[in-house]
Amino acid sequence: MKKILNAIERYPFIIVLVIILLFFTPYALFSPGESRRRAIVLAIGLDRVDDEYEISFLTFIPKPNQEFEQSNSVVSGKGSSVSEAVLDAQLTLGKDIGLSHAKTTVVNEKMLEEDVSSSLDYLSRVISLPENTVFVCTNTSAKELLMATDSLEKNLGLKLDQLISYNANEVYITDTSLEAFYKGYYSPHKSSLIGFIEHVKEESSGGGSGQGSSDSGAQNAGGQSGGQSGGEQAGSSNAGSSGGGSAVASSSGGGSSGGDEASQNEGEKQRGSLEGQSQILNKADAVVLREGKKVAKLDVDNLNSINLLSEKRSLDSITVENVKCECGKTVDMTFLLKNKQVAIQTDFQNGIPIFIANVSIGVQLTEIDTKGQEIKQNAQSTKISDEIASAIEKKIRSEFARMLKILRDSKADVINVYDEFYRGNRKNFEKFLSSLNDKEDYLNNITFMLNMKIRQDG
Amino acid sequence: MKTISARQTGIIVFLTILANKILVLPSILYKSSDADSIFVMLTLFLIEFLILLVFLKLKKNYPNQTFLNILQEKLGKIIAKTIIFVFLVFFLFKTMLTYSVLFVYLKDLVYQDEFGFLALICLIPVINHAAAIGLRSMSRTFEMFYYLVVVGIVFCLAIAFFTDITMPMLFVAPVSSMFSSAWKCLFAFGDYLVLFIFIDRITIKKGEAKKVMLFALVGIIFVLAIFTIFYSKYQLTSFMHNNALADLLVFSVQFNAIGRLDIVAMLTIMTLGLFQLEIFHTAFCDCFVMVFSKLSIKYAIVVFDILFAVIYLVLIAKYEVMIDLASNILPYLAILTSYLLPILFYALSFKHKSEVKDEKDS
Amino acid sequence: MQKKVQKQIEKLKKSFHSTNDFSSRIFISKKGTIGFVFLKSMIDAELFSQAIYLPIQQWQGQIDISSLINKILKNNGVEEVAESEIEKNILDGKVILFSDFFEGYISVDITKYPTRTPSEPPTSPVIQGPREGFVEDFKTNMTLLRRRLHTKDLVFSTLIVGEKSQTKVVVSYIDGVADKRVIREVKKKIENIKIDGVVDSYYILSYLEKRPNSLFKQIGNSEKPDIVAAKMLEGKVAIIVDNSPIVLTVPFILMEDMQSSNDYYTNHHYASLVRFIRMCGLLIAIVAPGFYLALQLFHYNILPLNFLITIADTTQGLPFTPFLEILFIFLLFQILYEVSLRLPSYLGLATSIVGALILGDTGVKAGLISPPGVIITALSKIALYTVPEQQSQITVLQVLFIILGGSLGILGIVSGFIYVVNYLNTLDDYHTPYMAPYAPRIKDDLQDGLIKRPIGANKNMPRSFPNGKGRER
Repeated sequence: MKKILNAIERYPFIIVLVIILLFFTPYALFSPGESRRRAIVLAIGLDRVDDEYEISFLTFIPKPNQEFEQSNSVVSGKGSSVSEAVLDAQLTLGKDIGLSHAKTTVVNEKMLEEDVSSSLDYLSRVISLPENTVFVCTNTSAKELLMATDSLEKNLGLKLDQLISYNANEVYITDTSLEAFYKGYYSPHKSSLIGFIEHVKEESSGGGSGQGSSDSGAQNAGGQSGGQSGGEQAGSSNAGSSGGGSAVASSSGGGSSGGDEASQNEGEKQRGSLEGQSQILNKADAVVLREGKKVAKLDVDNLNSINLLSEKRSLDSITVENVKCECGKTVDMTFLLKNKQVAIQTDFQNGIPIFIANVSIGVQLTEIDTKGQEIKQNAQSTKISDEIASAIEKKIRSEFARMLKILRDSKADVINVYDEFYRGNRKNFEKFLSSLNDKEDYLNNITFMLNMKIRQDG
Repeated sequence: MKTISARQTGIIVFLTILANKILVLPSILYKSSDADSIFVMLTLFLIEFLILLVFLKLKKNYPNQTFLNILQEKLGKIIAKTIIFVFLVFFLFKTMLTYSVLFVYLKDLVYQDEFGFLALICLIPVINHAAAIGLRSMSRTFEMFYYLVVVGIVFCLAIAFFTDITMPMLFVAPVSSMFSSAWKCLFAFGDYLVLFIFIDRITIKKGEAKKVMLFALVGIIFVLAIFTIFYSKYQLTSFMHNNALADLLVFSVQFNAIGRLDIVAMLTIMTLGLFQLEIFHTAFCDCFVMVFSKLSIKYAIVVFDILFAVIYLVLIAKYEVMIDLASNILPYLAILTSYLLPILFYALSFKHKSEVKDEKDS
Repeated sequence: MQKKVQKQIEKLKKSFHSTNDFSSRIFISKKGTIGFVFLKSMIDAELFSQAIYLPIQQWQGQIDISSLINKILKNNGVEEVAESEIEKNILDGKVILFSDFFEGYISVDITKYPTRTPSEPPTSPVIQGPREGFVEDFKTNMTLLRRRLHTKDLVFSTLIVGEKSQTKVVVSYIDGVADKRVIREVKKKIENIKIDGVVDSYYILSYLEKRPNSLFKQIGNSEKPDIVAAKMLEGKVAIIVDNSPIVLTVPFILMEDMQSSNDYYTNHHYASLVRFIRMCGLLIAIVAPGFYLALQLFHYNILPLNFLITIADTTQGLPFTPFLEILFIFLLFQILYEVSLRLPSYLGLATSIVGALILGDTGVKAGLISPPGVIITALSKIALYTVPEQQSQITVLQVLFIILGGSLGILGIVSGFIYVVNYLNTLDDYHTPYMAPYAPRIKDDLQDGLIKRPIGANKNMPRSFPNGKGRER
């Protein structure tokens, strides 16, 4: 005994090793990997159906293959709260939900009619969900969009989050992530901007066989029949879930289930047409939220106007109509806006706050529509005349005014006016705010000055 | 005597400065004083830096004596031992706070499950071993990992720059909330106190004091940089993010394609956490040996483990409670150890000087 | 008269238990009888007749002890020995002459036993640079060192170890360069060895180590005289053991194994890169399987999605759990390694084909093991040979980290790693910190650390270990 005690004293790590071997290793030896115990969620969809939350997960289903092909499936659960819905989905899956790889969260546009933050509360509390998860809304149910996402991936090799990353890089002035939403939500102006992805479901445009029409029927009817119709990906899990929509089933083409050659051919034809049935349209639209509720929708032109105030976002072009080109004829010209230089100033004149944006834009002619006139054109040497420059400026100003009107009407300050004034003229601004009846309606009481300089670039 | 060099001392200073401050503290402070917490930190760091100067002065005047001897010589045995006992309690809770902060991080982001016993079996043997092998071997390990830790932190900070960050709004919080912030984070400071305990094993040659100060400065800059960049990045949602250094790595949608880089923060935080635990645990054991001079370091380690287990698993049980304790009750202890006692030490170093002068004159 | 010589021979033969190779000859001259005693397995028979027997036979003059030593026998190693030393001399391969007409014994050194000629050692081949390696014969080894260090300060001091084997252990150092304390300690340790026999330098090694129970290598070793000479120039003490081609050096620091002799014979930029890769190799070798296991069992969340998908796909449907799978593959590789070591080289090739192709590829196709598992384990096994000197301890560490990673996750690996480094930093043998020049950081020595600077840049003696400058710390 004494010998053992001595040995323990001399080599205490032996005890540690023994404890590890006794208490931890046996469990670990027979425990399956995390990837088997958890369903890896790639995207989350949140809907509200009949006073219940429906949460849908686009999950990755591991299949033993050597091709590393990703096979996904949409699983959903319902409950009176989001967390209950998650538990429901977990029961359906028979696995724990692993959210750490979720890159997208989609909500139904209808949910934005009320404060969406209460619906997102669960997701904001789940620590494993990364803050940079893309947050977008859609016009159809989120579940249907997730199903369509799968076909997007199959057909274009494109993931939804990549699509939105592109938007966020080029069009949106802010990130469209959960984090960005909360940042806006908790700010004094309580406004945030989130991406909008349009999901289009077209009716099959003729030429569809009997099976085709039955499939599209299934799509309208709901998930149950979609699951049975032999959809490859989501079929099995859809059957278990009670959600509606079988976009994946229809877009992946159930035609292959046909026995004879003729029906297979038909199936292939039908696949082409069916792919058009449910598709994701990225128009780079965005929704403006105020206090978590949708107050306005911005199209890409509005967003580009907003981008006038940001040097980083640059994907924009402008078409001016009926301007005289070098040759003296009236044409439509399209220009690419490049190398923006933006300086924002804030000022107060007679107690009125003035938001001054000094913008210098480089324009590059990219296209001339001659409207059928014969012109000996040389696009490279076309100079930007004063007339053209003023036409461009006029157009930009009108776009900006249109955008500003939307923001003013919705009292949503997604262009950081509040921050700029707070930084620049804090005291005056606070005084100004306190003088307002509706403190949140400050955008309408601020004068915006847009000083533009158009220069030729390239 | 196995002593450590000025560089190694500097690295210990650097590591302890980062202790408890780079994970949960930024979000706790944001709740009470917004981004102005940076000023709170700056002020407390200034005071902390003065403690370092006190230490260097004391070291200069008492080059070879142990801390206990210095105190005994001036204040008598009982007072000396009482002071060291207070430090013993301070370091015990300091270790626990460090453990809690690390634990919460690991539980939330690394293991995503309750894993209490696993954390104990991973961390406690290592820090026990470190205390047993002594300061020199331990600080050699720190020296080896120093650059890795620095690279890890710089990496986390640099990645944050890839996103759109704007300076947080400053001068927003009222002065009263600044004071409440300062109170909350008081216990997270006072890290240089370990140096007083190790004073006899530190060799600072002439002119090397600057080296120690430089390391302290680097540490302070790092902490302030983490605070600033964290607040710049998250701004109004800062309070939602409990693990500042790790959350700096979660970047914007634009960089979604790169994949997950959490591993860098994970390794940095684990290494840092373990080193800080080692330092505070060793300081505790050294205090123990000084107070109970008849007992060896082995007893100190055993006593620490028992105390740790009892307080943590029986009395407190919830790890978050420890963090609450640190921001509400423990600051009283910190006032004593981090501010009042260093003033006393400063006085002691003067007293000694005058005595030396008298001796010279006679 | 002849009887006296005969009697002496009988006596010696008896003391050698009438061993088969004990030989004796008797030469009867006019004056009397001369006896020759030797071990025929240890001498050069031809030289015996040419250089000893024949000259005596043909000698016309007076035969006595001084004429034998000074005139008749023309060999180098001719000396008079005391009676008590006869046996030892015979064992050393010398011929002993004695006679009934003169008193005393003469030993003649005509030792010859089979030895290897110095060739390139298989364990440390170089692309460019000296190819000589040490051999089993200690004299040759001494010559190899002496040829490289033409200085009168080079000292070889021989000690005898092993009650039965009486092995010669040569402590060699450059006086004035090597630290006197280290020399003293080494000699003392060797003198205190109580052992029956020393058949290889490894027997001595464990006595020189201050912590023989430790997993980690504490004594340097090399098969190449250029390396040993370079180390001696830095102030290290070399220990040559007869019958062993491995020469030991003390003190030892871990960095030595990161350095290869190739580094010194190529461009230093390239050497720096290679050392960095070696360092990475060492890390990968130690933690890769454990880390992979930790990711699979605990931290799927930090794996990039595409990698996670690959793992999930490939491990789906495997009969083993991840832990068992890695253990299985590890065992498989280790068996293959052991087999390839012990089999003759032509069969070794066959086993590697069987191992790599049949077991690996078919194992994957049969769904027994997953490709990532094979790749990670194989990677760690191959990476191990970037530092072949550390092979044995790294293998043990691999198992340890597999257990830690599999049972406790990344925290277990980090804790284990820091524990190991903490432990290594306690190793302070022969006044040398084991992890120098990084812990403690010794600025001057960093130029031959992971980053190698040109040889001319090393103006000072290394300060990581004690040498003529008496540096301690």
